[in-house]
Formats: sequence, C-alpha cells, structure tokens
Amino acid sequence: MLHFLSLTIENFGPFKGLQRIDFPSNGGVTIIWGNNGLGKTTLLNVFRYALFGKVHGRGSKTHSLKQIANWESYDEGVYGFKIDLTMNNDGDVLELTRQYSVRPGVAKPESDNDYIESVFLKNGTTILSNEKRDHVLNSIMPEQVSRFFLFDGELLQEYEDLLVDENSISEKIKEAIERILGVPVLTNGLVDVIKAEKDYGQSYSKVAQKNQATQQFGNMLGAKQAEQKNHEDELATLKTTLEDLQKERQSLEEEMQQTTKVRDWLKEKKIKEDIIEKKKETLEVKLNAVKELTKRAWQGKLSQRISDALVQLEAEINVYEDKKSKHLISLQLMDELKTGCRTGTCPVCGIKMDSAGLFVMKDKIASCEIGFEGLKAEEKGKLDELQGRRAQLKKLTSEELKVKIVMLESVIDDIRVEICDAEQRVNDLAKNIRESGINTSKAGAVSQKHAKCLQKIEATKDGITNEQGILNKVAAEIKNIEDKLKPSATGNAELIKAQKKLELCKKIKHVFERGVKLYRENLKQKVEKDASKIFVSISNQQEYTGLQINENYGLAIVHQTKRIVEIRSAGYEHIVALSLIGALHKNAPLQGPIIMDSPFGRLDPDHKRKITGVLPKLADQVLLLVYCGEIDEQEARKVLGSDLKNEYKLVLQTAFHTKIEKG
Amino acid sequence: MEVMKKMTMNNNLEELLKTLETIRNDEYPELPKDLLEKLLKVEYDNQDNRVDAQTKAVKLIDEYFTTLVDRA
Repeated sequence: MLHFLSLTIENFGPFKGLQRIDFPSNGGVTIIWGNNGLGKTTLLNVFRYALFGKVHGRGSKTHSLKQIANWESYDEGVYGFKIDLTMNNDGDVLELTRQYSVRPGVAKPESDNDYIESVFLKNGTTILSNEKRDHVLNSIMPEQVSRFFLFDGELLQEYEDLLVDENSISEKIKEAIERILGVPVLTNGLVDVIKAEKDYGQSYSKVAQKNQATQQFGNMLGAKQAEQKNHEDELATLKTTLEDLQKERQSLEEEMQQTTKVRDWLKEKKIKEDIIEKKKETLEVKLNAVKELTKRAWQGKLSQRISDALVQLEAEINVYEDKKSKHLISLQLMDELKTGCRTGTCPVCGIKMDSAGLFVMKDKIASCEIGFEGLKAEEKGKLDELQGRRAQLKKLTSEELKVKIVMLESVIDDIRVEICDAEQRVNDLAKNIRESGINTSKAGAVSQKHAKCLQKIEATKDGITNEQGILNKVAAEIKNIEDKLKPSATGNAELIKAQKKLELCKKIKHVFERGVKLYRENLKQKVEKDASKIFVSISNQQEYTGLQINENYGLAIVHQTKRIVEIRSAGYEHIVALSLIGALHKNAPLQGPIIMDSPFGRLDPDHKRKITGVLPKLADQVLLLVYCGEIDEQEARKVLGSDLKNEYKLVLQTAFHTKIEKG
Repeated sequence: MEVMKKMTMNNNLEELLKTLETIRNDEYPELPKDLLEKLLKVEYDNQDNRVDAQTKAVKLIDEYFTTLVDRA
C-alpha cells in the first residue's frame, strides 16, 4: 500500500521558495484550507507533476511547464522548480524528485526549450535506473488510473458520461476503471494466448502440407489462416484509425467551442451584408421613382386653373349622368308597370286591378317614355369626352403628386436608417472578429471538418463491423477445415502432436475468455454493492435504496419502487461519483492515498457532513483541499475526530506568493 | 458503517487465479492448474511491458506443451 510521507515544493505555482507538508505515517485525513486563487488546485498539480511529469489546466488540458514556475522567483532571477515526494510503499521508502531547471548556457529562460527536466527515484539509499524507476512508478500509481487518486471535483461530469454508451470519454474512464480493478491481467493474458493459438495453428497447417494425404487440407488451412491474418491486420488498422478519428473529433469539438462565437459572428455578418445589398437596390428604385415624380413638379404652378376646370367639368358631367340615371330608373319602373298591365295585378300591392286602374297604369307608362328619355348618341359622345378630359386633368393635379412624393420620401428615410443600422452592426461584428485573434477561414472550416470527421467515424465503424463479420466467417471456415483434417491425421505422429497442441491452446483460450467475462461480472457486482452501501450512508433521500451498475461502470440511482432515477441533480452527481470512487478503492489491487480538490461542489451542509464522515473509509490516507466555508471547520473536526491527523492553511502573501502554514 | 475489507495486490492475484481455476476445474480439468497460475503470474508481473509479457507467456505455453505432448 502506498502512503505519502512528505511533500517539498520549491517555486512551483504560487508556492515561492521552499515549502513543506508532512503527512502522518499512520494514514488518516489531512485537510488543507485555502480560499480561491491561493493554490489548492495547484497542489493537486504538484502531485500530478511529481508522479507523471504533467500539469493540468482547467478542464484537464495539459499546461506548458514554463508557465508553472513561480513568477516572483522568476523576476528575482530564480528559475525553474522542484518537487520532492517521499512515500512508503509496502515498507520501501521511496523518494521521488522531479526538477525543471535551466539548460546549461541559458542566462534567462524564455520558453520550454530553455529548460531540462530531471527525475530521480531513490529506494532507501539507492538511486534507481531510469527503467526501474519507470517500472516502480507505473506499478504504484499508473497514470491511467490517476483520476481515482487525484480527484478533481470540477471533472465530475465525466462520471455522468459513464451512463451514456459510445462516448470517447466514457470509454477512457471505463478502461481506467478496469485497469484499477486488475482486469487487464486477464485481457492481456487472453491476447497472448490467442497469439500462441495462431502460432500453433500455423504450425499445424505447415505439418499438414508436408504430407500428401493431408496436403490439400493443409493448403486450404494455410490459405484461410493467411486470409484471417490479413483481415485481423485490417481490423487493427481500422481500430487505430477510429481511435485517431475520435481524438480528432474531440480536438475539433474543443476548437468549435472556442470558435463558436466567431462563427456566429461571421454568419450574422453575412446575413447583414446581404440585407444591406437588397436594401440598397430597393433604395435605388425608390429614388428613381421620386426623380420621375419631381420632373412633373411644374404642374404645381397650374394647380388652381386645373381645379377650376375640373369643377366646371364635374358640373357638366353631372347633368348628363343625372339624365342617364333617371332614364335607367324609369326603364325599371316601366318594366314593373308593363308586367302589371299584362297580369292585371298592381305591381306595388299585388291586388287585381279593374279597367280604370289599368288605364291609369298605361297612361303612366306613356308619360315615362316621354319624360325620361335616355341620352342621345351625341350626348353619349359628349359625356365620354368630358369624362376623358376629367381623367387627364386629375393626373395633372399636384395634390396627388405631392402625397406620392411625401410617401416615397418617408420610405426612403426608413430604408436609409435600416442600412445605416445594418452597416454599424457589420462594423461591430468585423471588430469583434478581428479582436478575437481567431483565423476566420479556419473558424469557418472547422465545422465542415467536424462533419467530415463524423462521416469518417461512421464509415470506419461500418468497416470494423464488416471486418468482424468476415473474421467470424473465416474462423468458422477454419474450424470446418480443421474438423475435416482431424480424421486424416491417423498414423501421422507429427500431425497428431500439432493437433493436440492446438487443441490445448484453444482450451486455455476458452478458460481466459470465460474468465474475463466472469471476473468482470463479479467485479461489477462487488462495485455495485459497495458503491450502494456508501451511497445509502451518504444520501439523505430515504427512498433511494441503492445504485445499479451498467456495462460502462456507470451508476444509476434506484428508487424503492425499483424505478431508476433517470435525471439527477448536480449534488447527487457528486454523491454517486464519490460512491464509485470509494467502491473502486475498496476493490482495487492498487491501494494508495486519495487527494480531493473541492469535492463538495453543490452539496448541502448535511451531505457535506456525511461525506466528511465517510472519507477515512475511502482510503487509508486522504488529503482534502477545501476553501474556508466549503465545509464547516468545527463540524469537520468533530465528525472526523481522531481520523483528522493534520491541518494546513494556504496564506496569501502576494498575488503570486502563497505560504503553506501548519494548523 | 461496517469496516470494509481492502484488497491488496496479492489478494487481487488470488481472485484472478480463483476465477480461472473455477472454469478450469469445471470445464477443462485436463489442463494443468499450474500452467494457468504461471501464465497469470507472468501477466501480472509484466503489466507495464506487454512485449515481455507476450514473449514469456508464449514461451511458457511452449515449454508446457513440449512436456505434455512431445514427451508423452
């Protein structure tokens, strides 16, 4: 089991000069209190740098090492940094030193190239060789599983991704979980036994080819084995390609996130520029219309005369139109009266008329015919002429012209304002794009590249499925040939031996295949059981009875009704992630300290108290990095009791200098 | 809360051996138990060097087969 004994930091991050943290040899919890910006996350990076030579920024991106050196020391001419980590691993006292110092001959370092890094691992008094050093470090704390020992509360979202299948992050975490649980010992064993099986298979086909009785089958077998090898190589290539494409996809997605704003600005700028173009065309049309209308502005001088002429014309037209409408009305009346005469019925009241009444009606008809004559031919012509002249004069009236010009000018003003606003927006967008410093042609191209990358990923996955199908078919064909070859081996001692070896190897392979499945199933059950215990002890929700594990080691909350709680809060995400980490530590062959940076996130005080209480049970040695107020200090001391071995404080000296103080 | 039993490196190897032994005993008793134990140990001790692990594993199987098959 791995224990940290002491940590010495020199000029790393805000930790200027030489500073030291001592850890009790009997495990327990050490709390380091530090408010924002004083170096809590940097402390996590101190361990990460010491063990793996890497430093993570926010979102687990790797930092350039030159940026890590303390700035005040740099200004004072003290360059580089150093970490000394002393550990006890099952009785061996190991001292790990990792140093970043100025390359000889460089007066003032400006880039990473001006530094050299040296790493030493001492076991007792012996400095280990580089190979031995790497082997020891990899066995006590492999980088692949570091996330379960150096726990960053900000990256909890990754554990929720375990619930989602087919995700590059969840694949990585799943691999890391299986690594920490010891599964690769079996999966690697299976790979190696399969290699042995292939070798024996080839020997078998070669021996069969040597004998005339079995030559044909031997040749067929050899050909199929070669075909199988080709497809296996092709499958391996496709899997490597898929891995590279997934990495490319992740990189493009990060780039897209960074360039989302710029792409949105570019899009909006294009739309605005198109609008400006269209508006300018419309403006041109309207301006031309105004130009045409103002050509007739001289008509304003004649407006009075035109008005007078129109009045006279209207009067003359009214005389003819009046006569015309009276004639039309009389025609209607005569129609009614004629119908009454024909039917002998009054057209108004409908009563049967006598001969006197009929006489009166006929007289009325005659007087209408005389009194309400229609327009004569020359009168119709005159009326048409007068109406035509009226229409012409109306076109010349300046009032109508004035109204039209005013309307057009109002529309033109609106368009000009719209163009002006759009041009201002285009200028603002161009300025934003320029100041972002992002290459616009790259920004525009990145989403196309991403779409192409996704297409390639799908095509590669199809290729993999295809190859796997072919390989299954070829494996069945090989088995078929081997079954046919078996009876022919009688009397051929060499062939019989080759056959036996191949069969034994296949059996070993089956043991490992079944072993991998069985071990995984057992592990998952244990992790689920242990994680559920931790979860139930932390959670305040009585109706949540435990956790259910999936293929990716993702954990879902189970309600007492057996329903799965599909959506969970950020707080419960914390609790589930911590339960998983606790269960993994309990079941992992690798035992070591856990360092937790702000693990409490959005938890309420009650849950914080419960998690604090569980910490000593997650690992023998726990280092907790929290800000004052993240958990209540008195409450933490009370809950941890004798399990709390040490406390330190990060104390601000200047913006670039933090001091680690005991107590 | 009950104190949890912690697995050590040796316990893990034992768990792995137990898993394989269960299957060997049930389905392939003719396979030598110690072959599987040694294979597993080779993989366990060479987790950070796959080339070495494979070479040793293949050699181990070969040596066993020489005894089991060739000299039988």
